[in-house]
Amino acid sequence: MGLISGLALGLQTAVTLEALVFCFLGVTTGMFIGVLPGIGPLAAVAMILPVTYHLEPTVALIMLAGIFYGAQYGGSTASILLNLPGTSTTAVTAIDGYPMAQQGRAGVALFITTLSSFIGGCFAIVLLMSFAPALGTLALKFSSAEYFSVMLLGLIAAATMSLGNPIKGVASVVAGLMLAMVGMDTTSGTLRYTFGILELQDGLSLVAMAMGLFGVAEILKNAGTPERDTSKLQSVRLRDLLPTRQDLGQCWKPTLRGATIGSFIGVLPGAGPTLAAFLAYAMEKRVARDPSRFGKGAIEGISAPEAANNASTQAAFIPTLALGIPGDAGMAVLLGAMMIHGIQPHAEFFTLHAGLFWGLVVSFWIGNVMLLFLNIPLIGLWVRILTIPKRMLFPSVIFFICVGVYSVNNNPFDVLMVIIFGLVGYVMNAFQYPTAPLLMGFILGPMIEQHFRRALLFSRGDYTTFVDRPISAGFLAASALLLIVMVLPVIKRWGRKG
Amino acid sequence: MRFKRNEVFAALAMMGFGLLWLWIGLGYSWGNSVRIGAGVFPVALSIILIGLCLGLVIMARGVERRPLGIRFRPVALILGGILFWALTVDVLGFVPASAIMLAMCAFAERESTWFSTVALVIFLCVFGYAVFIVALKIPLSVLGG
Repeated sequence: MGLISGLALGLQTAVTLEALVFCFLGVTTGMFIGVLPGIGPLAAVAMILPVTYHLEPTVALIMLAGIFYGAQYGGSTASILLNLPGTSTTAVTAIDGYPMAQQGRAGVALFITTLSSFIGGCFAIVLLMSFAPALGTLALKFSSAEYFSVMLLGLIAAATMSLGNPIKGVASVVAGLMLAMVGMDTTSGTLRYTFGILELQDGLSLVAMAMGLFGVAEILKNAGTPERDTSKLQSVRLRDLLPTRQDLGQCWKPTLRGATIGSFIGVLPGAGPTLAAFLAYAMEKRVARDPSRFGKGAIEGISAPEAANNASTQAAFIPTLALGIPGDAGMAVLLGAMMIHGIQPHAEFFTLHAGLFWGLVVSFWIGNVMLLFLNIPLIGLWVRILTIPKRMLFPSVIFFICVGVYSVNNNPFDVLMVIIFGLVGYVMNAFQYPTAPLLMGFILGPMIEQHFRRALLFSRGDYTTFVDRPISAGFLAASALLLIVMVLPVIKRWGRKG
Repeated sequence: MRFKRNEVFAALAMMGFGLLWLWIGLGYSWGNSVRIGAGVFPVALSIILIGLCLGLVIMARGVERRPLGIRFRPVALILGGILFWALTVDVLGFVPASAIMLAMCAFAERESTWFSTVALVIFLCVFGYAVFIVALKIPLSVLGG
């Protein structure tokens, strides 16, 4: 399907009253959750999930997707005003955003981050429109061997490209794959790791796992700490927002560089917006004529990472929709939500669900424009959200998580699983094991095993099938290279110390 | 030689999970090279995990720098609240289970007062009833039964 006819189809799908209302609801919720430190977009998905059962899948997805990119816009508000990232993806924005606020330029910083997010988002949507269907066509030629290899690459990227010790990341991915083995094995019908519990025969619940690892664990981390100090919160007036011509001149190039880095990272399966923002910041510091300005309120230090994290969130839809391989942990949950609605993304997604794909793309444009207008004139309101105390916020979020998870199967068993994964996530965070790779492993586990077994079945047990096929061999080589490049420095550093 | 105790503990806990999965996994069918069985993936993954954990233990040489900072009171109250909700929502009903769960979570924060907690409970129970039970028709009973 061509670009023009696709967009026309998308307009038909996304410009209905229902779709517009739920797109608005999604981006507003995302924005709201993004502003609040301590809860991320994944918790917001749990709150919204029960609402989506009553919707058409397209509308449901438009709303759920809105939460993710909405959160990228909102996250910078707390970073700039309180030096506390609203979501982990905007942590880097605080480095230069908070000094700007101290210099009385909070309004300008908020305006620039919104604008950069918008430009980054648009950049990635153009890529999504141009390349995702093409990638889908290419993927039609994929057999199980290719799928196995590309998933392996995704998992290794997810494991090693998170911040921190990459060996812990790999351990986390492997643990996720192992948890994915719970339930009935689709090939042989064997029940694995069910411990005689009936509810485990269908496997562990993705929603329960995501809510435990990201929703509850985040709250446990911040619960019982002193209340945020919001007394220094400045009120931001509309006329404070306008940047000077010099500001704009300084930040348009970093914004475009950030958008490019973000899109690239977003397309890589497994590498998410947090990494994109950090890389974009590091890049700006390197190319800057005077790197010492960074950390003291350099405007490039906020525009590049903000463009990058939003671009990455939107670009992550490319592998998610074209290959069914989630671009990051957020996409993994979205993929799970799609499966609940009976949509399985794969190579034929673009022909079978053309209306859904183009509707989603058009809704991204609409949602980004909504956020632009929502964010800037209402900035005073968003700032006030930061004063909601934790003692009100945290119980409410837990309440929504409980009801949301219960509603998936109308069964309290999944809520019990949330407790276990909440505790696991809390302990993993405390010991600095990343939790996002665990979720990625869990999502891809059943698929990667199935493709591995199917590839061997086709090749009559010949393992060389994975390297004989050129595309598969390419992915495997890339996986090996990535693993060596990321893990070798850690081992070297350790060797020197010992 | 000194080891970072936290790191070793975490790696050993992870290894315990690997050993459990390995032990159970060895009981599943191995299959043949064309049709590999249900046991191959779990066993292979368990062995990889155990190996990685051994590596992490060996690499944990050095002196601890950072305290863990685990707070038991809020963690116990919040997880206890969710546990209470899960166990009683079908018995006591949505409103009583939610009220007690919300109160437990609220008192995980030291700044909570009785007044703020009661206000929160009333607001969320009414809101939850209207949205989840009336509008979204989630099959939860309001009061037990």
